[in-house]
Amino acid sequence: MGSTLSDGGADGPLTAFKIVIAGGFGAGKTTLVSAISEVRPLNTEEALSSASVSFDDLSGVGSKTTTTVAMDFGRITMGARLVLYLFGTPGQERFWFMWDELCFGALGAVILADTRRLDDCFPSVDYFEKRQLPFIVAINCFDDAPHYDPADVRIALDLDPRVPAVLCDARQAGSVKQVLITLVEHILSSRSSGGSEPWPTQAATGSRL
Amino acid sequence: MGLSSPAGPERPYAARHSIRFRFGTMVIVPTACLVVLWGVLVTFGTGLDDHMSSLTHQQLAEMSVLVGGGLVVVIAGVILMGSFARRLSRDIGDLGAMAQHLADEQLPQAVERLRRGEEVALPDARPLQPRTRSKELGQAAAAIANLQHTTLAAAAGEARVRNGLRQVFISLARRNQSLLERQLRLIDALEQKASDPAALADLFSLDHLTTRMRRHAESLTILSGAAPGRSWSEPIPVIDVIRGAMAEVEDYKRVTVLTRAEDAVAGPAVADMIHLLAELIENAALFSPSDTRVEVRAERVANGFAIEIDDRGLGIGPEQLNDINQQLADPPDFDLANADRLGLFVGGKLAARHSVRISLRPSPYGGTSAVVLMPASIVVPAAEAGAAPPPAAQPGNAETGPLDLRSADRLALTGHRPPQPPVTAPPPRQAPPDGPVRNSQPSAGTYRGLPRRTRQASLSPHFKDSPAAAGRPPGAGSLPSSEHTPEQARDLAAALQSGWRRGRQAEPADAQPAASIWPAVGQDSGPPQSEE
Amino acid sequence: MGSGDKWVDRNSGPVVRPYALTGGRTEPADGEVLDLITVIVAARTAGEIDDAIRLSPEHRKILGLCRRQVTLADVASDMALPVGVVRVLLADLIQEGRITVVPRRAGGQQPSTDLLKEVLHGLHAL
Repeated sequence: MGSTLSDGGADGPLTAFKIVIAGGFGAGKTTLVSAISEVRPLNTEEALSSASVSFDDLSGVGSKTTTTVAMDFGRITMGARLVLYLFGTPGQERFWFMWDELCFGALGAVILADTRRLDDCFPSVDYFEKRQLPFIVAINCFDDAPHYDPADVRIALDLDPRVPAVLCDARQAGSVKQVLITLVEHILSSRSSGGSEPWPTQAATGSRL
Repeated sequence: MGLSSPAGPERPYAARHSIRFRFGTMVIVPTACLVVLWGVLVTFGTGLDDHMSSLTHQQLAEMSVLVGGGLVVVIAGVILMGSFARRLSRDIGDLGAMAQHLADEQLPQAVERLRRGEEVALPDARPLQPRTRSKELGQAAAAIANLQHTTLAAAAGEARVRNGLRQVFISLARRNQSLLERQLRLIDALEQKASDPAALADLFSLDHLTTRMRRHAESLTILSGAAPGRSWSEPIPVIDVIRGAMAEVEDYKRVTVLTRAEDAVAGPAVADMIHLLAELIENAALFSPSDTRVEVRAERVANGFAIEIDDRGLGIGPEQLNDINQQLADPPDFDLANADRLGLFVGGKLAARHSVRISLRPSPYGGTSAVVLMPASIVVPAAEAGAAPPPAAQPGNAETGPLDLRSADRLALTGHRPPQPPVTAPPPRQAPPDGPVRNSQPSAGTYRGLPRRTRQASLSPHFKDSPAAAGRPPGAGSLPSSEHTPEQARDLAAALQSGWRRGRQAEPADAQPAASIWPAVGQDSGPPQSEE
Repeated sequence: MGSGDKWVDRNSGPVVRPYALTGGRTEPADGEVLDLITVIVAARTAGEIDDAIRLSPEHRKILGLCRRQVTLADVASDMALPVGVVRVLLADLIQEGRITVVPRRAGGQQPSTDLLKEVLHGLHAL
């Protein structure tokens, strides 16, 4: 059925990639995505959760802030043949099942870390390590956050030495662009170095769930 | 329940005649007879007839005068009595007319106004001033006035009770609807997030149930005379109004909507039309076999806009059809006794509100056709409605459009920032932490004030493979049962993978078997694929 | 609470509930669950949308959005509908041959190094 090759237009087929933006609640995922996206993501998570702990009070909230793709969703068009999507992971624990779908086929991930609550991003690090999805850690600079050296954060997170940890300001498009560049460079360099050592906790690659 | 006549021996009524007649029979005739009798007795009893010839003229004249005077007195008496009787008759007639007026006009009008919820001033108990000068009649008038007062007071009391009941219904219905609206918003959000078809199907069932509950809550509001809870300020496309009504019906899957019309229903009529159509569609579905379809067609006609609902049931007999059409055209007052015809009543009332005509007729398929004719006043033609018809759902992101080359003006590298979402400062820490939920992780200590991660300790149990026991920290505890069964998860994975495969060219012949479907860097399975 | 409650326009949600858009279906017609960034486009030989009476307004809107290559994420976002619903509607159109899935430029599970370099280049150029 889908075997009909469509070139889609004079420019050739469009290729779409996705990059996952993970991180704790309030770490700045939406900020990061909206800083660079050409479409404005409407974020359900934070809008709802800042109003109340759970979905208890939705009167009037739903109509204005519902995101249809159910998550922070940003888009960067690069030419006529390439488009990059940024998907933010859902914050609430009940949406764990979305992680696999989101991350399926992704290029890689950016884990946004908040040094005031570093442990919020532990699950993300665990997850990407397990799924063997390339990722980098971006330490978001909040005005009232204590300043840490990326090296300290990398030790606290027990990151593999090759995983980049960089500082970033999620509000600045230039900084976000740099973060994404770092990720793609990381992916490229990991390839050329011929693969990485398996993690101690790496599950057998055969099984998935 | 209600009024009943007291049982008892019935007194046979004698025939009634007017006072005049009775005066005639009871006074004039007997008096005349008595006078005649007296005349006869006197004349023949005293032997006057014998002496008639021997009387002188003078004596005759005297006798005539006497007799004549007596007669005059008698007649005068009768006339006076007659006038008295006539006055009485008139007064009593007045009383009768007054009572009749009360019964036929004043009371029904007052009750009618009470029923509509208007205030009615209870008249004084004695404003009725009949012309009578008789005490008894005056008392009778007062008694009638009292009666009126009491009746009105009773009616007002009833109206108060009924009004209070209405308010209770409205309040309950509103509260119900409020909760249901909140439930629907919650369901909306969950539907956005549902990723696999099975989960979405469950949500659809929940959605459908809740939508039907909301419809009934709103129906109660309408029945109680208040406006429906939902309202629209913009015209809504007819096809959406029809489908919206269809969604509120239990057997919505049996309904097919066939129309090309792009007209829209004016905002103020949308809520009522949805309810109206839902009633008719539901009827059509109820009265036809569950394996038949109900078809809804819609198109503009000369006299407005017509929506036709056809079912393939047994149809309705001609007299009943007539009866129903009558009721729909001229809805009677809401008689609670007619509870089984509720739908009809609601439909009729809603239609009347907007001058919509509904008529039922047999359909060529043997079932029934319900035709709803909306006047042009509540339908917005396609040309005007079509400018930017609001979609059935809410509008999505602003600024999306076909992908364009480089929206440099939006990508700010320096300076101008795109509008920020409202949350810039981190909100107070909420209970649920991020993503793949952590277990209560054993504390690995801190490093320069930062918490230390223990590898794979914070991974949600849902992601843990059963065989991958190696390296799991001792404190992790037993796995809670996953809500996603392994089979479901595998199915999802398979579905995603085949969908993913769709998006790729045919795999190269030496492609690795999908050992790990994650295109991850550094797979164990060997050197990474070289580019094609 | 009380008699002041009113739900105006979108505060009462969509006029047509999502399940009514797909007739209650949640499974895509061909059983394949398309990934969010699958690229789709209206088929050139789509033919007239004359038998429009069978296509719902949402089907037609999707066809309109797909005149140029777009992803499922874009369509779902523009339609303001749950992704699951869009998948079903899209699968209908794919099955009818009105929309085709654009295969990825380079095969294999992982994107080619060339492609990655293109991405890098594109990022630098932002």
